[in-house]
Amino acid sequence: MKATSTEKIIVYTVLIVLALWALFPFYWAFVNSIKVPSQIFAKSWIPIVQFKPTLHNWQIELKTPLVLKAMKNSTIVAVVSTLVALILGTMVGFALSVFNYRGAFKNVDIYIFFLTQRILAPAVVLIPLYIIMKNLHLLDTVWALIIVNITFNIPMAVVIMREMFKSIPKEIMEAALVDGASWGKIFSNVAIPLAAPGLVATSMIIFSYVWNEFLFALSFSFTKAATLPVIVAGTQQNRGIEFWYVGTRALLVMILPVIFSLLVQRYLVKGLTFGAVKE
Amino acid sequence: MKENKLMKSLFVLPSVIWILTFTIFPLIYIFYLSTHKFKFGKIRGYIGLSNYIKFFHDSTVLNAVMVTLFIIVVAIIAELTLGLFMAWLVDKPLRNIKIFRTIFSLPLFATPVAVAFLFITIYYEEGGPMNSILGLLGIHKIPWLSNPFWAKISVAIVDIWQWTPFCFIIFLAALQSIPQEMYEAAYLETKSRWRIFWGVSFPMISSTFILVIILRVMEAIKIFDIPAVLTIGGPGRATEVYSFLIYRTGLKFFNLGYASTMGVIMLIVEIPLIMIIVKSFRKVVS
Repeated sequence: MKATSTEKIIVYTVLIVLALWALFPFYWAFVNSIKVPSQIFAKSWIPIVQFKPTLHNWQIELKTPLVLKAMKNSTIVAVVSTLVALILGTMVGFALSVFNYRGAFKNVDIYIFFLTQRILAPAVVLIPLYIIMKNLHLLDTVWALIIVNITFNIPMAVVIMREMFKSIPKEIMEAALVDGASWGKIFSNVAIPLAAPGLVATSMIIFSYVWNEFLFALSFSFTKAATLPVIVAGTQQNRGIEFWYVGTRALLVMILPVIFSLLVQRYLVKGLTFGAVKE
Repeated sequence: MKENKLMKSLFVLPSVIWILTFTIFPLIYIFYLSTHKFKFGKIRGYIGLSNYIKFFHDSTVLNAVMVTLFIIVVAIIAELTLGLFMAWLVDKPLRNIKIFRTIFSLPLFATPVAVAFLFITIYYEEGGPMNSILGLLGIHKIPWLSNPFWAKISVAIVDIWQWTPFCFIIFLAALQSIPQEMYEAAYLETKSRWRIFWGVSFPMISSTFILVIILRVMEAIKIFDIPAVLTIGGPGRATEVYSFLIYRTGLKFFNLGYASTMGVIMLIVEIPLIMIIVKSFRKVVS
């Protein structure tokens, strides 16, 4: 069905309006982050032409000990949680795609078990986990955050990696089995290399989820283990609303997951729908 | 293929044990906590169901339920409509259309806390961009964050900004899987794009549409970050969503037993949802 040129103009106009809506907050943050305070309310939108951009806000922000500490905490929590969740979830994803579980817990039951964990609202287990972490003396340590983030992200790894392994031809693994390889060897030497792109994408998705996580970070960390979202949320009470500063800090926090989301486009549908919609 | 039982369990057991320890155990523990009294964070004796009796007479609970429902209903309806519309627009053989797909997906992974933080300035009443743009259209200043009604709408709008891409991405995948021949056949009968959409496209993606509703409800119930940062539950309790109420009750006012009760009820409310999802996934995933 061919679109007429009037139709094309309408479609592009609407698309551009919607794109502006999607992009505006990013642009707003960026513009404010390179303005000096006196220019904030000047309604100027184009750097260089309308105002002289400055890196001053960024320089200050990246020298603030509180921010540096939070960046370090966020990185540690995200990297460690991602690695562990990925390893544990990938093993399950592999097993569900190649083995036949019989008896009380069949493949689909095991899958549902992990899926259910993902459905559950985190706030339900907030209080019991808080008391558990308190009793283990893990409050305000990165370990409390690492433990909960692993828990809530294992299902994501199971879902995506199961799909990845299912797309590997069975004959390849059967051949390795005939050659006398053990399942452990097949997993690490055959399946993992073949599923590497999926593994990278999954790790980026999980990393972003952990990086963005707020409820547990706010509840289980106070000063020593505070992550970037906690620092951002705390800013409001401490400094009021200073636009230049909000822009800088917001961008600093979200830049990494936003870049990751661009790199994992191909895997998003599988991950977001738990494998229910195939592309 | 040759399998052995030990190998099969070794692959799944670590994860299963992990989830049992850090999800299933807390879920059992929460029932215990909800029937006990706390003082200074320590358990001080059994109090039976009194927390539950209090729960059903508590106006703050009712408020949190209504606030949560209002925000997520408004947000989900808008996200589904807008997401479907955007997917329909992008599902066309036009030049440079891929760029729009990328742009529309951008908000999805943007840190919710940072987005909410940013929107405080966007909603700024005097000279913030939202009111400035509305001013150009001749609309009077809206008290986005200071008025109880508009504060709910503000939270919903941020949620819409963040989650429309989710609906968009899935709808687009579904639309693109419709065979081209179906459109060609329909085009012989009618030239109306409206009728082709409702006669061909929508029926073909209706199961995906239901799936997206289910997934959105599942995620939306968890809403916490945006109201916790954008409005801190206010003004008053106007945007105090359920998860935020649990957090406040348990970890701000240290009423751990009562917050556990709220958790138990949330779990019970979620069970039908979990059963719907499990039922639909049993069919799809096997």
